[in-house]
Amino acid sequence: MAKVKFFASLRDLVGLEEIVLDVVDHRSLLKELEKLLSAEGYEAICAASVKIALNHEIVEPEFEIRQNDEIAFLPPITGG
Amino acid sequence: MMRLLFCRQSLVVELMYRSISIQEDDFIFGDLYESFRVKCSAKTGGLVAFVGFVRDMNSIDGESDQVESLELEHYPGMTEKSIAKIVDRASSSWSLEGMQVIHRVGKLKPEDQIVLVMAAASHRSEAFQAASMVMDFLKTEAEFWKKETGDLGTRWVQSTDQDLKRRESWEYNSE
Repeated sequence: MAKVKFFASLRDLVGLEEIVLDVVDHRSLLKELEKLLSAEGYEAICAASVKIALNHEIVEPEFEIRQNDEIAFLPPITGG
Repeated sequence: MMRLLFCRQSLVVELMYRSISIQEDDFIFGDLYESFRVKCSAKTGGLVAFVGFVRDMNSIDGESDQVESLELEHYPGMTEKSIAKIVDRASSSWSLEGMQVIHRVGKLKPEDQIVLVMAAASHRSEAFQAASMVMDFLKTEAEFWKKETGDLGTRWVQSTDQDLKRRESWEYNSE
């Protein structure tokens, strides 16, 4: 099981802050989220500007997911 | 040769005074300045400090928005690591004697202090460049998101091409 988090505008669009899913890699994660989220929410997390963090490190697509991993969908940053 | 270089860079990072804080509380610049100054080594020739405030006006699609409040969100655990990487990058790019970063989160209002960056170095050019680079990277590489409420409503602030270009200019300059 992995914890999946959504931040800022993505949390509002998806309507979820956090969810626990039984997924093993990036592909199964997206497949599961496509089933769970609204079309608008799924489209938002798939936008090119959205980054994915795995255990606090930015990862590229096709990553593997292990037990108790934490995944986060991050919209473009606006700090400073 | 590579190993020696790596050790030398690590030593610079270790010896330099550094402090990173993400906090809801406001800060008193004068107190922080005095405390930072004494923690930097005697090699310090000067320091550059930047304090960012919440502006009372912003532009949304060319229309002026009177800002009432700004809510700042971060990713606890990850944002701290990202700021540490930014400070590492600054300290390996320039010979620094100290660096301090404070970024506030939570609900802020116009004129509130939002961010502080202090960089100390033997020479002013290095301190100016390090403070400027850290600010440009905080805007694009540290996981903070701003939600603005004003007379045009509430919206998530969008990142700008200008911010990305400023960050990319450092990639080019440091290579």
